[in-house]
Amino acid sequence: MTIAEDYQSALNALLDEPVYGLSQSEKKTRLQSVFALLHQHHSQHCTPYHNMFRQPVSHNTPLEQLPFMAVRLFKLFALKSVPDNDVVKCLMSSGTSGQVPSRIFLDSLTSRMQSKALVKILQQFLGKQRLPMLIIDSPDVKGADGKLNARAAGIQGLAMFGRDHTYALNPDMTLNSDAISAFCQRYQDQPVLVFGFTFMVWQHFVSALKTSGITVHLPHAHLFHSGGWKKLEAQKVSNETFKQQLLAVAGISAVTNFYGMAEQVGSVFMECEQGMLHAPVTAEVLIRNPYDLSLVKTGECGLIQVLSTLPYSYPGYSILTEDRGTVHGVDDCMCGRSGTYFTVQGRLPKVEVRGCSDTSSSMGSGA
Amino acid sequence: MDKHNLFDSVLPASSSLNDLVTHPPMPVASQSILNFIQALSDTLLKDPASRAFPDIVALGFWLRDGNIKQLVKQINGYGQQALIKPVGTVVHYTPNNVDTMFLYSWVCALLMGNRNVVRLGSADSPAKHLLLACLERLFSLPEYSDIALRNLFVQGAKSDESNQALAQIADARVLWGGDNSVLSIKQYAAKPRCRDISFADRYSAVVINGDKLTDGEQLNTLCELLWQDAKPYAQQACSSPRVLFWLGNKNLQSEFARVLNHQALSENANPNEGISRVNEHLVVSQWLQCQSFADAPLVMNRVSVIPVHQVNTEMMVMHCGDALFYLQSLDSLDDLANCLPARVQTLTYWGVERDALLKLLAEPSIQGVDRCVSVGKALTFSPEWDGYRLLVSLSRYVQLDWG
Repeated sequence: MTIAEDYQSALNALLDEPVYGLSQSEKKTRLQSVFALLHQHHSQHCTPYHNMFRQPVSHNTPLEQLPFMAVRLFKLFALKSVPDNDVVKCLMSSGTSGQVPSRIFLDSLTSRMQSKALVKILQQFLGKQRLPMLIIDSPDVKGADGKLNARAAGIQGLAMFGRDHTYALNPDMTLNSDAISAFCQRYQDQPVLVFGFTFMVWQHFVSALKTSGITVHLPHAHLFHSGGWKKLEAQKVSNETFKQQLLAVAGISAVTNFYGMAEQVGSVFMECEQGMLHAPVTAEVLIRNPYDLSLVKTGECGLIQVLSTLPYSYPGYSILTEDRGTVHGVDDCMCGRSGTYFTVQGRLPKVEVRGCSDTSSSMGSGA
Repeated sequence: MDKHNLFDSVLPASSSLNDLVTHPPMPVASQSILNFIQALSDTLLKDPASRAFPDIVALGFWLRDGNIKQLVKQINGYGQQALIKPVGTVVHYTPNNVDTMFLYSWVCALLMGNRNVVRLGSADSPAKHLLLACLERLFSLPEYSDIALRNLFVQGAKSDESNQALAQIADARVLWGGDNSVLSIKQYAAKPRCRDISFADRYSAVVINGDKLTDGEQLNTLCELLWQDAKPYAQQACSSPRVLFWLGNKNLQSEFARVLNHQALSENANPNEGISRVNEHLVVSQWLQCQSFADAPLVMNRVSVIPVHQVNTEMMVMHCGDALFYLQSLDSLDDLANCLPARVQTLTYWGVERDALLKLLAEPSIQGVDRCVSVGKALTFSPEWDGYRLLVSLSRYVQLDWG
């Protein structure tokens, strides 16, 4: 069998396992074989990857000894491990404040596997039935240029769990009160799915509802949100406040946060009832000391390294993020799910541009 | 030219650009200038708050009477067949974060009797705060009023109007801050005879002779000195070495990287600072490795040492400082000739024979290197800086021929 075939069969077998059911030792063995195949594949088909990681990797290589790539490299290079003809989609991260966005190249295999893995994970929380879906965003998010930004990709990923997709916001990010009212009227007595990015939900839904006087009552809704707390931290909004306010303004009591990134779509870490993020069977997290990149002990905060079995068309199966987090344990979360569980503590601080070559050019504006 | 329209704040607070130019420059190295510099030195060295800032202490030492007298002697030497006079008004554009560097050029201009306007960067820092507080104190004393009338520190020169006003009064401009800063300031037209002293983007290197390194003792000394050159300003000063050229025997390279890191760790006052540093270094290191520009780092911790195959312009642009070193191995000193483009400012050396180095630097084809000093002295300021002779450039030379 070829590497590609070996990889697909190993990944499919992994996807057949329960999402949070394998013991950590069993999971590690299975992950190691997949990562050894991915390492071989990327070494052969992605020259920058090969140049960077010359060390041998086998199915015996422990997860913590796998090479890892700084997430920013996806902004600096167009990294792919499949021929150009095989690329079906290019995902762009939402480059914050004028930054160059990450570019993630997907072939049909990776794209398919991402959806499959995402479905498996979300079904654990949503059930198999498609629910009416309220999207806290504007229909314009999709963009017209064919390149998919991360927000649109996230919405697209979740949209397959819903029906009667209703966008709650107008193109100018104001509340679309007609659409919201109609949705509430029709579905207030039944389970519905609400999805949005954390900041969008807070700024353009919760806060906007408070000031607008529009009443929303969706007592059977389950809200899923993701995208990080950076902007909310700045406004001193905690997870608790977020949940309290959602209940107050929209009657929504079921709220689930998840952690994931454009560079590893399909690999999401869902928050459990205990407030812990859980690694699914297809993924793992490791925490590294930011001062020397060594592995830290359980309970210590450090840089989050994410490992995902899904990236085949681009060399992103092992990424060192710029987020800080803490692993709290393995296999013994009170919620009953197996595997590693962790929390996220926010972003690594931005490095100030300093020194001789950053000065008065800004003409005193400090830019 | 109302100060309130032009700048957010000025020091001395009662002064303005208009007032400044009404006072004639002072005689070169006049007693009252020397007294003021002495007082500044004393204030900086005696202020307990200075101790937290090694570069302020270094500045205080540099300003001491003995050192300044040497400079005066030098100036007197220039005036053998000439009159040496102030150039007029010197406008200094200071960098944002290399807090103390601009004070050296200001003192040079002051010593030559000039009126000065120092345009401060917008960034705030404790060191800058301390320096300005000392100056404010001295300016308020009656014995230094003649200095206070002729020297103005301005902050928040945002508008075109304020920058035009600064450009128009300048007889000389000292432009710190690298290529972009220099070019953007030069867009404001100055007088036709205005002299611009432009500190552009440069980087510095050290050449280490691996054949002369034999024991751990030497390695310790080398790393101690090298860290003195790289630690201040988080390696952002152009004079701090970013490239290590290693001649000959490479056996001790790994050990060198370890010892340098150890040296840096041992001087680490606050282990929790710089939480983003290693990630920044990882990005650079992987960026280099991706393109086969480098091998895996020898160390990546408090300092990072990355063996590169051949230093190029791109990788110098990518260099983010903060204790990051590119290590390039060379077979012999002759190979260094191809590694010193115009952008190289300071070359420090260890274990290299002086005559051989001198012979190399004299090569007309070598465009780089405006300072060559032994390792440990990269940041020691002298009025000969970055290829300029500041005391000469900031004064007028009146030629005399009575014959």
